[in-house]
Amino acid sequence: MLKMEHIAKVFRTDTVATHALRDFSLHVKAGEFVSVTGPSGAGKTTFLNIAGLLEPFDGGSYQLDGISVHGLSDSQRSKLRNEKIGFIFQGFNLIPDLNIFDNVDVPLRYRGFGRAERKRRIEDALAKVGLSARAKHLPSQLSGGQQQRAAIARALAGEPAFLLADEPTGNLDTTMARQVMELLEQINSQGTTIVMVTHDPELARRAQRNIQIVDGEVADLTLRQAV
Amino acid sequence: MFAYYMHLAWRSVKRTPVISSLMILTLAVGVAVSMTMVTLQHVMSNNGLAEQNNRIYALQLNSASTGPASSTNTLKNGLPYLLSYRTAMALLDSNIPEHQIAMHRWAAAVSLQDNRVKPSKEVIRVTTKDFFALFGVPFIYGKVWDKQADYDAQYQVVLDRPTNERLFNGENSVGRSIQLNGKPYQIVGIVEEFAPQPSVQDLSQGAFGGNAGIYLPFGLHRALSMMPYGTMSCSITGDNIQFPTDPVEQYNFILQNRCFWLQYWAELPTAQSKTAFVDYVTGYYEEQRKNDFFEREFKYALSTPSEWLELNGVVSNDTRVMTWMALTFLVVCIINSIALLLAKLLRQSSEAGVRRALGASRSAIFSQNLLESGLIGILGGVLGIGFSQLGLGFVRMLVSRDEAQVVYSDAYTIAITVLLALLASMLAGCYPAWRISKTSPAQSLKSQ
Amino acid sequence: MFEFGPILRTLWRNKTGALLIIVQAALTLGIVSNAAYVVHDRQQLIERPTGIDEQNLFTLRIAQLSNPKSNYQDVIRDLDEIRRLPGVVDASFGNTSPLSNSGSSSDMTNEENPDKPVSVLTDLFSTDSHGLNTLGLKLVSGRFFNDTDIGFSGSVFGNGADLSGIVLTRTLADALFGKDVDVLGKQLMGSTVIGVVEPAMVSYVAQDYATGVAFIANFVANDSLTYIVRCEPGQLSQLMVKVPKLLQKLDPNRIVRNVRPVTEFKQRSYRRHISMVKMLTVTMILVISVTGLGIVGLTLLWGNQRRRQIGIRRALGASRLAVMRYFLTENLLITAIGVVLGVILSLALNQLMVQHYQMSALPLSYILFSMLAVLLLGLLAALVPAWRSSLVSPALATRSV
Repeated sequence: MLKMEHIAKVFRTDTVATHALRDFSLHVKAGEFVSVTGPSGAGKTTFLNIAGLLEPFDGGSYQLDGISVHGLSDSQRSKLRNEKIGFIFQGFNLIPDLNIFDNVDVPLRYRGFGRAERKRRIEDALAKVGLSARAKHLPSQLSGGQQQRAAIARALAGEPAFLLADEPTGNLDTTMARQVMELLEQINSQGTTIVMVTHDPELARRAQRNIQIVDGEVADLTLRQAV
Repeated sequence: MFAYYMHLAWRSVKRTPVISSLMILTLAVGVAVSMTMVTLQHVMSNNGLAEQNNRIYALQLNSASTGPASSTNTLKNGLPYLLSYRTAMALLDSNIPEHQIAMHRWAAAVSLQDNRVKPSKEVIRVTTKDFFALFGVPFIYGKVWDKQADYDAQYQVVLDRPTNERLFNGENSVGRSIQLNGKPYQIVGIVEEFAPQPSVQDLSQGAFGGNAGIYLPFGLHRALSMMPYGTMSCSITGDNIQFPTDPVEQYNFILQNRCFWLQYWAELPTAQSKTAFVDYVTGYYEEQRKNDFFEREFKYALSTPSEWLELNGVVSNDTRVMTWMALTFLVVCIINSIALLLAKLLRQSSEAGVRRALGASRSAIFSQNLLESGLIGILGGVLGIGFSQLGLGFVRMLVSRDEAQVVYSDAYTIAITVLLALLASMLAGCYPAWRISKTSPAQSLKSQ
Repeated sequence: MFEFGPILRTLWRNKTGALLIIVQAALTLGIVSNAAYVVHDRQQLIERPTGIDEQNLFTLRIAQLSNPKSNYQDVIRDLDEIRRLPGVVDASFGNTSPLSNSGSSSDMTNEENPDKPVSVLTDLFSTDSHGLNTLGLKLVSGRFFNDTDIGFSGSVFGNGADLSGIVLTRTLADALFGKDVDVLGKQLMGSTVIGVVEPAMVSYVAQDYATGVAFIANFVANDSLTYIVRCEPGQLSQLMVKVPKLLQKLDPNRIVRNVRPVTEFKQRSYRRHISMVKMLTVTMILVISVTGLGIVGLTLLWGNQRRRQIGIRRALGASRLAVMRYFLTENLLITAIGVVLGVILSLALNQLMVQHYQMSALPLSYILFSMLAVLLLGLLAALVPAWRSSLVSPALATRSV
């Protein structure tokens, strides 16, 4: 599904060059649930941005679902991102002016689906996360857990093969966090590959596999069995 | 997708109604002010004789005396803008120009014998017969007076269509007569109205003062002791010049001396004819210099209608300064809108980041934001076209009545306005949209 | 304590926005200083005293239907009848309407020193014995004309032979013979100077045209013969109806036309300047409004953008005043940079205007004044948005967005 080989990423300012990732290699198979942990500044976010095609990388190769990302134009990468990847953020990143229905609608619009198709997918996605009744609410009218579920619905609506989650439970209390986690596991069990960045070892352990990033490199590849 | 972007743009405009209307208003005012001035400049520089531009020329000669010549009115090129009667008569003898005319403005009380219409004082053009051929004024009825009427007093007259309509209800009035200052004149022809604005043929009485609806033959001067209804400046120096006391002699004295009051146009369609005419003029000048009628060195100017407009300063420096001020003001308005839009759109950069993460390409973000700024720009432009009509109304209140009649936008200035409005909105729209599409999505997602 | 350092660094990070405002402030200064100067310059020109009682004067012209020339006896009869009307101070004729910017002008030459003749372009105004009182001129020395002085030269190109005397304005006398020289009895263009009146504009208002006025008692019967009527204050409008009626009654076989107050001629003569003043004033108001409102809007947007930052500052102990001060300082800094650039721009604009459009050079005082005005504008415009930003609660800092 995801195949990164010797990825390097350097941030340069006028005086300093910071190696955020160096010789970073990772394979994620289809249907896997991988958690990524590591200390602050280790390169977790950079990994996520590169995996999500939000940022270019300086060296190495990256294949997403068999497609080599290197050398793709912005619109090709955007299309790939739109079709293959769903994003879940710590801060939910719902668009505050759009109601839940319209928020879920956003990626579908860029996908170019027709009106009926979009409506069906939005309703399905909202039903999946149990927010059908809240479709017309604005994000600010929902609790944190509900907002994150709405964000997950938005990520799922395009039926991506690959879900990238960045501290999905970071802003949530324990009960809510558990609910969201269960939802992700449920999604994974239906075949969607998930890569989740977290600093919570408890959560990390619930994934099938945990990867530690230290100083921009994969520190440990411990294969774990599913619970 | 366009409908979706439009929907988003409209939503965004509505979300910040005050800032959005401020931007729209700013652009509108900028477009309106500059368009008002551009229109004013455009109508003032309108060349009604553009078609004859490479054929006909206004003539100036360096004919002022060498004495203190402050009273001789000159144009920017330093030459008097009018000719004397003596010079005009000599030049009319030339057969080089295809057509040539000497003329001036006059005025008289116009009435009919049967008193059907209210008597009125009217502006009259006294000219040699080529006027209509040279300026391309077609005859509706009758024809122009005979050549002889340019030299001897023949009480004949040509009316233009509006005058004929007022006096004779537009009938064929050739053969009938009108009274000028109580004296009957026989109508020999009716012509189409000839009233270019500005009146290029004669700019000596302001930009619009040279048009007339009644034409008299040039041969009437001595019979009527005609003085121009306009400018006459005399430049007479030398010892022993005695101004005659007898009225007839007095008038003769004016005709034969350095009194400048006539406009002179020559039709010279080819380069050869132009050269030949200049030779002729040079010859005449040098000959007259020998007998001291001309005192200065030979200088002349032949100006095409458009050069003539420029030379007479019809578009005043004030108008030009105002136009530059207005255009500078437009730049201020555009910059103002760019700054506001930029601030507004950058506030939405986190939303742009989310959209990028959800699969929007850079060009999609650019299009979406361009549509928003373009919407504001176009609203501003459209409103600006409306406002520029108010601006023109304001200008009409300030300028003279003649000028006010022409200070309207035409197809040309409206096209310019639309272009200007589009340009303003594009300038105001493109940069902010480009800026926001350039911001890295990773960056704006992190800053949440 | 002003935080120039942090402010500058923040601005540098947001340099496009700041740069735009700087350019806008500079252009605003360029427009305002140049426009204000031209407006003031023109206004002074328009408000120059004319030396005649323009408020209470009106003029008219007569067109005879049968004969283009007016008869002197008829004119004398008309004027006598007009003077008899209640509310009329005096009436006279002239060769043109006062302040109409058209008339008769001629070079007057003082030939006392034949080697160095002094020539001055003069407004040559023909009138009769009532001219002095009708125009409201003040006699300085000598006398004005009496009824027997009148001459009948066929045109205004009289060579003085049949003119009994000539009256000069002091301005003209000064220009021809020297400052405050007694000119009574001097010879000018073949006639004798019999009187001097205080400086006045009669035919022309154009600044650079005629230097002064020479009055001659001369009746020229032509198209431009003009009746001038001076009214008692407040009587003008009703006399402008009564007088034409009276004239029409005296002789119906003529057209009484161009009945107009002299102030209208003055307005028309200055029209170019008046419209310039009005157009520039409107432009100034608009540019100040646009820039002012632009700064208001921008400060509001920047304030909103930085609500969280403000909240943190507040939580860290910044007072409301400190927050306001931060925003005002930021604004002042931007406008100040703009204004400094604007000075260069103003001078450049002015230089172009001087070079190409015969405008005069911009005095420093206008630049200084406009600099202050634009700075003040920036400060005032930022005041309300800055105040609004200062209202942000410190609690905002602890809230997640």
